[in-house]
Amino acid sequence: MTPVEQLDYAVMPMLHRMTQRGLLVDQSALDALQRKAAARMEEVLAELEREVGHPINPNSGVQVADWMLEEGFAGRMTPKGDRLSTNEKSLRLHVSPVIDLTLEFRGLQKIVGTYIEPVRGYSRFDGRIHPRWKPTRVASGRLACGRERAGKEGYTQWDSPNLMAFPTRDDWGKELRACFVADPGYTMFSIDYSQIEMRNMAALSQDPELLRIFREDRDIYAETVPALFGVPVPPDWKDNSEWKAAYRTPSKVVTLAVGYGIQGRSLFEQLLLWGCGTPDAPRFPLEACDPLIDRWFAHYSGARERMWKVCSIARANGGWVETELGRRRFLPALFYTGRRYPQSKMRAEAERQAFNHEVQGTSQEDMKRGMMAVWPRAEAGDFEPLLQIHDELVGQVRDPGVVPELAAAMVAERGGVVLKTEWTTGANWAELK
Amino acid sequence: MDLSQCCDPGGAAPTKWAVVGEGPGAEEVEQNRGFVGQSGELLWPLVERFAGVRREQCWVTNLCKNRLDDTLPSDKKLSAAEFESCRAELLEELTWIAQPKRVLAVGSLAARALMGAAFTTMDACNGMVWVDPHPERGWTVVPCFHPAAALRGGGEGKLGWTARAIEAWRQDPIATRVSNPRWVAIDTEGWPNDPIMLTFAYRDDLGRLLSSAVYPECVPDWWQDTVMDGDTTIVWHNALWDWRVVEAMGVREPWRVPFEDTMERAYVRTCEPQGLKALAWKHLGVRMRDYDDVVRPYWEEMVKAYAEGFVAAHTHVERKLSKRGKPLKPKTVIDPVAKPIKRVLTNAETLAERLGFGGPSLRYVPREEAEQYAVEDAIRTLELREVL
Repeated sequence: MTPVEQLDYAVMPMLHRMTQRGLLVDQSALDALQRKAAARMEEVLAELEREVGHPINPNSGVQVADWMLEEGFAGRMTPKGDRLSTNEKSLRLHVSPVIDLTLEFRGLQKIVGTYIEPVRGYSRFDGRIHPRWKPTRVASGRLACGRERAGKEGYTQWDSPNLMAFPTRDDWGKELRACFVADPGYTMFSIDYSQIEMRNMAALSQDPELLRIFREDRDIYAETVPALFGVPVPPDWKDNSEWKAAYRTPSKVVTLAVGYGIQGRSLFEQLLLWGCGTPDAPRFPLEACDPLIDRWFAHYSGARERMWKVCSIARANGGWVETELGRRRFLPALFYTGRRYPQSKMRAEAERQAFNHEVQGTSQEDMKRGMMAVWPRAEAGDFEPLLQIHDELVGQVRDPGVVPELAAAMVAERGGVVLKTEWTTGANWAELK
Repeated sequence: MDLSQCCDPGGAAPTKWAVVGEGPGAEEVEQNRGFVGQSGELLWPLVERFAGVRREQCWVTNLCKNRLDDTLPSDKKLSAAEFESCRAELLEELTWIAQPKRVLAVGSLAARALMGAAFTTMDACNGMVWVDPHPERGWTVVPCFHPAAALRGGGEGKLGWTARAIEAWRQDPIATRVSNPRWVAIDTEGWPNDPIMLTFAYRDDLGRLLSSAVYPECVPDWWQDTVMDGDTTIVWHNALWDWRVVEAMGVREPWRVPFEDTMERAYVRTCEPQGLKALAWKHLGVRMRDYDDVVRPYWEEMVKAYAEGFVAAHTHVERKLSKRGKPLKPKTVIDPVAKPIKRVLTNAETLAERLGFGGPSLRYVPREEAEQYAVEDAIRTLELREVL
């Protein structure tokens, strides 16, 4: 039995316990949320009619495209080429209240259709969601969650919605999470590894600058600002929300993006998504995005060297990339040498995946080790595990005093970097951030 | 099929290696040479690297020698008659000209042509080594994902699968079997809220494979006697699911017994299917019966019988007298509730929905056949553990 297999087997009892226990759903809050969403949808439709001058169905691509044509908006066509494309990506390129309302309507519909309704359906048997974990779906060792495939049987007692994909950022996502509550007498808690992928990147690359930041326990996003934008960090930056929005947020986006190895194009979109400018007046235009990534790598040159090294090790290894414990991923495209389209694209993709696999896979192993470390406490009845999402463990305790102990037990250390954990408690899932 | 554009097969002949695609692209037609376009650029470096075979050593051909319409899905590109004639031509050519020992079938159309009914889906068959049983064809076929599948959105990981298949194409098939008598493979039938039975398989001291089924009420005792002996390793296939069912049968904390999981093993090996049936076909060469094929006929019969009973119970014969007091012709009257049922009496799916009858389940299958079917899962899980 390989070490990876052993690790995966070791966390399976905990996943099983999460499934069997299930996550309590506050049905009245869920009903209220659905009513609220329905009311807001009515409002949006009315507002749309007022703005456009006649009733319009925001779901109908034809109607929205017609309206765009009347307004003189240009953009991408549909693949069929018969009208303007009205998917979210194309709509976001324009600024108009109608477009905002259209997107809001579609977002609400998604909230109702993919989250609220299934949560109600799956929890109608015993008022709980029993997450169906699938530990063998993601190459890097992350968990997946949800039903096997869309079948005819509808909502059954043994399936669950995909809890990993629940929205986090917007208010609707928060309200949705507030419907998942701790059992009576329990307090919900969340322990997450703080910036685990960045820390592992530091540990694996041994980049002196990254190591220094994490050793001195500084904020990496703020520390990166001078290198990216040539602006010094003011001493009182923690209270300076203006500076944080202007510099720390984009720096955070770039830093996270680099971890995933994304290119200028997607960085541009991510920056817009995080509120750095608007589509017609982006703070970082498309051509400024690639230099941002380059500057990041110039500053943390060890990370770039590690990226190359991972690829060359993989090439020497017959195309296999391995995490610390030996979870493997096969990337034969690393052997392509061509400079033209199909080969160059596949190679670039594989290089990105190689580094990503090492960092994400190793982080996931730390997470699983952390789960193993606290599992005896769960068996002793000190806490009840509920969810494991990416780098976060959610559970509930009778005595909140246990949580810091659990968080301390999960702390690990690699290559001179402490993999710190942070914890929060609350009455429901929304209060945990 | 565009008869004006064609690409001839070519390469070394006779040779050990053959590469079969589905049809030439624009570049291939222009140069009259197989696999020279984008997919060739992706394919040949992999063949060289992972099989150590150069293009010049291979017979390179296509199922259809003419350009196919790329806009169609692959099962629509050729009509049944065209497919048959292309297939016959391809087999003639391989048998008499190229005479290969190893054939790499690139893409599902080529794989279906070479393997016939032995080919199920590419997800299941990618990289399997299939020996052609025909006496004139002394070759093995290894199907692989078309490298161009990796260029499509969402197909990034597929190139690894292609390369793994090319590795298998290179290697001579070796049968390795180890037997560990301490392994007991366990599988369950049913659901956490409706457990039906548990089946298990193990090898005795002589290596003979034994298997049986246990019904839920007996499971806790059986577990105590057979599994909890301190010397057993359980082999599950998807333990996280089976534990839920086993717990519903009354076993407490099934994970206490040392275990392995064949799904996890397939996952750790990477580029493998994870379903039991697909794994059994790929690694054991065993075609397992489909759950639906076993269960559906019995279930449909049951649903229809129930529906007929329902309709009969809601039907009565009305006998009236005419104004003169003479008996009229008796009239059959159906209650309004039964009308929507009577209308769809041949459609089990709709009947089940309208009558609130549950979906297909092993419960409707006669006991012996159900056990026979269910036990196979445990047997294959054990055998898979021995080869994976």
